[in-house]
Amino acid sequence: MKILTAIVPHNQGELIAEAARKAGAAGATIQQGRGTAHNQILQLLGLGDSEKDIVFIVVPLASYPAIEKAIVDKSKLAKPHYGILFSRHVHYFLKNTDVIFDQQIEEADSMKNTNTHELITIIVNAGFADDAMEAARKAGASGGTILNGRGTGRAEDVSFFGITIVPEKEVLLILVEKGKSPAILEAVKTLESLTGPGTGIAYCTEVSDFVQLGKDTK
Amino acid sequence: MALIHKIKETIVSVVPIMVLVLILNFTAAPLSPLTLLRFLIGGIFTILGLSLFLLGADIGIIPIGEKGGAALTRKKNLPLFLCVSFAIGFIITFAEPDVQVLAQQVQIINPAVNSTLLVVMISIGVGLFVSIGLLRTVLQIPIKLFFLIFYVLLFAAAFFTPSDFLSIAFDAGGATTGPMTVPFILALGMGVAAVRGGKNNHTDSFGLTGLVSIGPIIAVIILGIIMGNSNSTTLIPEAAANPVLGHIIPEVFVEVSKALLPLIILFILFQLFLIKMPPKQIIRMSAGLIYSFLGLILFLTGVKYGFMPAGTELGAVLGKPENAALLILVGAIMGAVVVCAEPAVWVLTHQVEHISGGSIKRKTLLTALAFGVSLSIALSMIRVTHGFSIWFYLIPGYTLALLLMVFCPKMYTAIAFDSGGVASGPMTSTFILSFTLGASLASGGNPVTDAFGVIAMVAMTPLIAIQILGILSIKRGKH
Repeated sequence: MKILTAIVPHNQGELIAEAARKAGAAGATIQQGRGTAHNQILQLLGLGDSEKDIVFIVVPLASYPAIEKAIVDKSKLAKPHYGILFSRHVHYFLKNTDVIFDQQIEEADSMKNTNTHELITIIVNAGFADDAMEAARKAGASGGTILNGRGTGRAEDVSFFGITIVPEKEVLLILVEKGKSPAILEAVKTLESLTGPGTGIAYCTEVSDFVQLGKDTK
Repeated sequence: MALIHKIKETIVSVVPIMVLVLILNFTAAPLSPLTLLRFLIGGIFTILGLSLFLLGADIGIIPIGEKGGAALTRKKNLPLFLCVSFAIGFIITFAEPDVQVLAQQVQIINPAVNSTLLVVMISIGVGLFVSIGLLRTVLQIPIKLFFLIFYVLLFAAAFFTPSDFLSIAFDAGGATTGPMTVPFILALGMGVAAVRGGKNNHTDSFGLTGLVSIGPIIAVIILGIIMGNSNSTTLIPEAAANPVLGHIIPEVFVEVSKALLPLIILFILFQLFLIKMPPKQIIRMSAGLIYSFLGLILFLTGVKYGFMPAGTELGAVLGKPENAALLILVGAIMGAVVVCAEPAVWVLTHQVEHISGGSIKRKTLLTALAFGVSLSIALSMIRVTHGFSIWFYLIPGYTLALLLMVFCPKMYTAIAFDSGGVASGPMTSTFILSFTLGASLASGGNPVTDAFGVIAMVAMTPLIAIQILGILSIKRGKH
């Protein structure tokens, strides 16, 4: 099994999910995020933001190519730079009471050499994701997507009239070509938003089947 | 680019109004060439202004409010929390230009009332309700209980208040929820809810605006009971003359500056003592405030310059007795399209979609709101031509709204009460109001009571429409 992830403009998530469903996918989950601008000054002036939908679909290996093709074809009707699509391996899948273990694909897949990209995830306190993005961009990243989240806090953080005060977080997703990730991770390493205790974390995972969505893509 | 995207979105919401007026122009109600020209220019101003304002709200007013609310809660200091939230409510209301206009109107009814005292009372009302509302979010007391108690209190007190004060009281609720304050108060509530852990915290993100608009209503009602009615001269609403652009722009500039100033002060205080954001965020937020400032000036100029005269002329033609059926029909359509162009409605529906993770779509909310406001304008037009008391609408309407709370999911009830205050924004209080006044004069009605009725109706029907939407959503699946 694989989990297919597509990052597309706001309100287009349903369209992608529908295309995938027609090609045999079961269902999709859509999250909202904010795309960062490509230009630093526009970013600073707040003119470059764009709202994004992030679509997650768990897909059996056999039907993956068909579903991917359906989404890519759908996106070709839209404008260029529509979005991106990638997948990650799923080793364990639970739905209703069915469990599917899937351990071997990884080797088979890496032989096909589709693992051209990596996904860097940086989780920082709210308000600092743009800083992290800027540092990453200087180190070679092209763009990122920011999701809002909140930390769970620790037991000792609690109690203001019995409620837990939890820190607000931002999750920054940056997809880069494989060779670029060390430089980017090195660049964000020294950021204030990642060095203090309890401020932030960053990690990097492999992804496969990276595809650009939109009109001009092959 | 974000601005172009916003312009595309706002065109969709302003163009229907223009189409409606143009259709009427070529059929039942021809406008004078000058009014038509002004209307078209005003439309362009409105589209550009609304786009710029919304862009600014997204990166300026809303993040500032959210961060402020979150940081305030994180201090874990109850006295500080209550004092600061009271001060926030007090300051933004005290500076709100609409509240000052309202105070002057009260002085006309009863010269014994000191208008500064009244502004202070309304501001205290808002301040108290902001702190009560935020405390409610922290303590997780059910919001429905608050709405029920305060509305029952309000209507009970209303019996003892002279009727002139009543109309002002309901207007006061609308006046305090201006296009600058609504996004800020909304964001403040969301900020407090965001740092509160535990389940269902996003269902508590809304409702603060709805609660806050009760404050000034109660304040004016109490004042009415104390002062009584010593002057029988009725209030004549501002005659909708056709002011020139050179008059409108400076007037709007001062108005918007007054509303923005407290937000800038709060932003600086938040930054110094509470939030401490990185410099890049400050530049972004400041840019946002500037966009909102310029956008709102453009928007209000467009509405006052282009839409108000057109509204008056349309009302004057359609208000003639032989056009009664058409008046109601046009009112219904106008209500549906105008609510979609209210700045604060945009902000609210956008935030609901954002907080609900897209499961409550803004289009769904807008549709419900359009139905609600459409009904309210149609009903108001029936009243304009027949001239019966507004209480025949308000009492059953609010009773229904409170009853629906029993069946409606919490979050929808909160959104419904928020949208009540939000729907009666600058578009309604200029375009729809001048249309109503025009119709009222032409049909020989009483412009004062008719004008009051329409704003109160626009504030009421969303409570019903959104709650019905909420009840329907239970059937479709759990929210």
